[in-house]
Amino acid sequence: MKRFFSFLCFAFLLSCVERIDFPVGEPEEIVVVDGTFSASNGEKTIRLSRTMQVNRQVDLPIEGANVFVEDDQGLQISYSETQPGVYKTDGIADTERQYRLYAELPDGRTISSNYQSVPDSFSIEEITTLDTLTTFLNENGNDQRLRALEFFAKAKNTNVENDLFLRFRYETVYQVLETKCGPFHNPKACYFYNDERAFAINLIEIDSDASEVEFETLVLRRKIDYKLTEIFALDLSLLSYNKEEYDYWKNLKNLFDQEGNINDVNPARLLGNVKSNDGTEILGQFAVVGESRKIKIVGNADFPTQRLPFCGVAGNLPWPLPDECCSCEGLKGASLLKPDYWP
Amino acid sequence: MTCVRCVFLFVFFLVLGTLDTAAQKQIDRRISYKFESKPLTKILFELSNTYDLNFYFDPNEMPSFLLTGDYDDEQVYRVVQDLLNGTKLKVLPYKQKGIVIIDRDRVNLESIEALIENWENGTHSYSVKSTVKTMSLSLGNPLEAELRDLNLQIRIIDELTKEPLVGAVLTNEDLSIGESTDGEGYLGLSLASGRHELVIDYTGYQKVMLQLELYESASFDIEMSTQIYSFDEVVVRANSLEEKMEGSKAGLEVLSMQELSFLPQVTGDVDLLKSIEILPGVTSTTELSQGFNIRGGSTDQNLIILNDGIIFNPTHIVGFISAFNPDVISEVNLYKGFVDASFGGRLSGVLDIKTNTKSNSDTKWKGKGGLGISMMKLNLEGNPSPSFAVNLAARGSFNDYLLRQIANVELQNSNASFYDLNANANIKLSKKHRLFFNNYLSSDYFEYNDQFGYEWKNHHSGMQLKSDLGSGFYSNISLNYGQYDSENFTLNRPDAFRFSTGLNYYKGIFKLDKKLNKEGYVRIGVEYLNIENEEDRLEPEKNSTILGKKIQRNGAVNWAPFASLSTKMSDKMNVELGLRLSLLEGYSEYTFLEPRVSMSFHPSPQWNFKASYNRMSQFINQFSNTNNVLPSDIWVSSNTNIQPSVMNQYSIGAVHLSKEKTFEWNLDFFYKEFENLYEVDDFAQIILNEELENVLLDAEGISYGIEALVKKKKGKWQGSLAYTYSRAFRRVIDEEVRINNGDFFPASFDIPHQLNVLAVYKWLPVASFNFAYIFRTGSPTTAPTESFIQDGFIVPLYSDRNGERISYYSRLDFSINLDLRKSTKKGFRNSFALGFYNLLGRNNPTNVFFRRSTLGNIVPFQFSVVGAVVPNFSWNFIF
Repeated sequence: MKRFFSFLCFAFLLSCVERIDFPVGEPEEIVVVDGTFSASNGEKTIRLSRTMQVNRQVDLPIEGANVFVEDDQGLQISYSETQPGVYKTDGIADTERQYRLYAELPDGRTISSNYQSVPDSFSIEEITTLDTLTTFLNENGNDQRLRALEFFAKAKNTNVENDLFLRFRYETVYQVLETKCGPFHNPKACYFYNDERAFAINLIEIDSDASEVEFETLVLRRKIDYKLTEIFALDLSLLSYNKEEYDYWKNLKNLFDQEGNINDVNPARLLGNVKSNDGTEILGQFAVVGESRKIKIVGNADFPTQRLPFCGVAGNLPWPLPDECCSCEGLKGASLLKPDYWP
Repeated sequence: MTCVRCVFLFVFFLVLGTLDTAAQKQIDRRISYKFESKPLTKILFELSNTYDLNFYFDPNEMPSFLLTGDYDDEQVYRVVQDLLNGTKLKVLPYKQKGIVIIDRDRVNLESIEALIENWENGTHSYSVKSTVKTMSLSLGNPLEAELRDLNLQIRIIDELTKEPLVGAVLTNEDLSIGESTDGEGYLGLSLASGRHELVIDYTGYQKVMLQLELYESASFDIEMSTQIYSFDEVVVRANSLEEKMEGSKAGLEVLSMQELSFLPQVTGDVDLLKSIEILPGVTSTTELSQGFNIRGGSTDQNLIILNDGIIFNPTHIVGFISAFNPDVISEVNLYKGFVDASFGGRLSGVLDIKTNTKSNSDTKWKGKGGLGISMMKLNLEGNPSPSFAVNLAARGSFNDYLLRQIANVELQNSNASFYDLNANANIKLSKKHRLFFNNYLSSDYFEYNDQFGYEWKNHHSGMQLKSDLGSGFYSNISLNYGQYDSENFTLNRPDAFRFSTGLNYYKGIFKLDKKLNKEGYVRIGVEYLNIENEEDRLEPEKNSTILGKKIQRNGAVNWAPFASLSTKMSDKMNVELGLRLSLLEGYSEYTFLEPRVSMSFHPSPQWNFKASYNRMSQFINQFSNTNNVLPSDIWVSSNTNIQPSVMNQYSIGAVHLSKEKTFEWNLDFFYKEFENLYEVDDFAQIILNEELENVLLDAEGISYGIEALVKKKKGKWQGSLAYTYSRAFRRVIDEEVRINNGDFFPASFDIPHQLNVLAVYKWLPVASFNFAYIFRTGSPTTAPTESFIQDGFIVPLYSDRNGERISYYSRLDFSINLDLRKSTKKGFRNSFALGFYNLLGRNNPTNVFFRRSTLGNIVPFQFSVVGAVVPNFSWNFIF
């Protein structure tokens, strides 16, 4: 009898969620803009690419474009193409002026965004970590309890004059140091940038009614493995947006939050703030942001009882020793480019 | 072999000749007989009585179409042969006994002998179909008779059960009188004093000939007896077919609860909303729909009325079961096309449901009830006094108890309970005045694993005063109060909240009808509707980080005077004209004149052609930004920034009835234009948005379609096949926002193709096998077509709104009904139903959604409410 009722109730309440094949056509290769500009020091990046087939994850960069940021008085700051589709500048925004993107594409079209003012920035006071036990989804789609390191960002602003629309963005880097594999072998380090795609969009809205604001929020959770236990860096930025550009990220978060229950908001085509001169559709966003940045580095000393680095430590090497410990370029995603903040 | 055959034929014709020779006297008799619109069995009966003739036939083979003729001094044989023209029946003399009428294919000695035996042993008789019960009634003193017309109020009831018979027809000999009973079994008419012969007819019941000597106004009951069945729980609109063939209302479906009982249902019990989806032009996009769609309209564009009360959420368990107890329903009218001017406030259709409260002189209490897989019900009705009747009904689920028994923690922590209550009273104040009280309450609570859930309640209380004012005037005053509340909540999370919304209304209707020379009526009236919104509240649960918020939305007050005229232009043409004026208090610019026109032309009893035009307005809408309409979606009244919507509908149609009334064919075309619609903007915040008009985009819409329906109404196999091709499109015309580049796009409920098949095998009078098959195109959806990278995130690029479609819907249901209540015996009687919902076990999609994998890929999933075969069982009883 219990099984009979179980069967019925499963049919009613648990219903059925199954993975399906949903037919998709060929991509239209629409131009995508992805970039920011701010008043902070350091490089600013604009990426130009095209849309790709769903789940192909093949980057289709647009090379050979002329990319500028223009202020409201006509001053142009040019970007240089450093990699296919990646355009960078060291220019710094003047907080008294407004800026827009202007670019000439190789196909002859020009694209431009709206003019945006430079929002107030919000300082990251510090980044703290917490070693904890939590649940991860493994590759088979099953829950797994693992030790994890949680990174918390504490931010503070004592003079909030306007509404603030904030988003945390981060980059990660970890190091793998080779082992001395022979008398003539000079061990070098390889660096691995952004090995995991960002999954959650972290947004915060602050009312201007509160003159002093302080908050702490979780920005990243990583399971503790060899990637953390050598040298791992979290390069965290807190970006403040203008309302329109912030709404773009809110809408994107809505798309990401689909759970498949009856409460899901209807998805829609995400439109950005860039237009082309011939009226064709341009996707993505160019945003002028206020920016603050903080870097948190953790290493072996923080995990005395945890997993060892990939190539172990002196006196405690893995056996058998992986080939990549003698030549770390063999590891997927390895780069020899060392971040300028590296210890 | 040849010799054997010769001998057989010789003997056969010898016998036949013997039959022929011996009966020449009867079959050769000459008769003079004139008749109009009478069935064959009745003609034979009258001939047999008048001319002392014996006819032998199988009553079940007799055609039921009406015949008209005038024979003067003709042979009986020639007369009967003429009447049988077009049928498969043949007339033969039978010895000296009489005249045989038999199927041509069974003209053999054995069949003829069997037929005679059936008549002699009483198996066959005239009483099965068409014996007339004669009643005589004398009212008043002829010496005191007045010269003016006298008013009669007659109530037609079932002899055994005392239940009113809705749609019974009263006519006189020359058909200058034609009245039918209303939902309470009453009809009224005016007659001159003197003698009258009236005939009362009702399908399945013995016809009554009333010989009336009338000298004073009066009211009385007439009891009719059934031929075979005693229907306790259902009231059949006998004239639904006649209404279709002669009535003028295009797009009106008069629903029979008896017919609906043959539909296999997921709970085993009759479900009104699931059943009407079998009709052409009526769809539902998913099993979790909070309503239904009529001819390309959204669910909130349908007016659902229960005894004049408005129902805002007609479902239980998030749309799975309808919230109407079938045991108390006496009459259901679904207006898809022409809508009477007394109805208004919504654009697409009207589902008008009435419950029964019977009053009679029998003061015994009786009841009915049932037990199903997950719910039980009980209905008690009776007369505390002859002029006071009550009807109490309760229905509820025991899902919560079942869930606790399951060895699954998630289910043990879940709830899916509901109940609905009906309490109705009928008080006879005098011969001319009757007072009705109606109360309805439905409640639902749905919660999943202590995570999220919904709760909602419908309540309605109403009072109706029906009066016979004399001289053919009848009035109806109806006062109603109702309430709808709903909550949506999340639990056990940092941002746990409870959102509540609701409204209440006061509604008053006054109608005055005047019969027009027994051929139609004139109606005038006015409706008042005051809708008040309750506060929309967002409240944090304990320890939640959510900040509470509340907003108060404006309500609306609507006045709607109306007038309608229904009349016969000629013997073959009916027309119905209506005009409704909708006024929104405080907004003089929101005044809408709503003409309603419907005409029908029936050149013969087999054909009826109809055309209609409707204009309707709607000043309250339900808005949602989710794929499914949810209990907590908000109802918003029109205001300065949100105009009322308007719709124009044009429809034409034809009905054909086969000569034997076995097959009924329907074909309808419709076209609708919608103005002042609103589409919710992409990514819009609906809940607690104080500037909701900023996220509502001006839109317009069109819908059109073809509906085809064929019904088989007689024989062991009965059923229907309905096909609908229907399209519904919307277009955003807002200058600042371009959805789909300002082009028309499919509405969320656009279902181009729908096929419904219902087949019932009536194995025995009390047992049937029932099959129902539904197929429909998948509903539109918005799906990712490409992707791009934004700051490291893989972003899905979605299609134009509703630019894709989910997979089609296909479902086969089966049930076996054993109804032992259908007998003339009294006392405790049972019925059983065993069925299988979704016999194909198909995972029919409710919606498709897309999740991101840990690698950032976009993975499509399909959500199906019912992903397996669902058996059901129900036991019902009456006492």
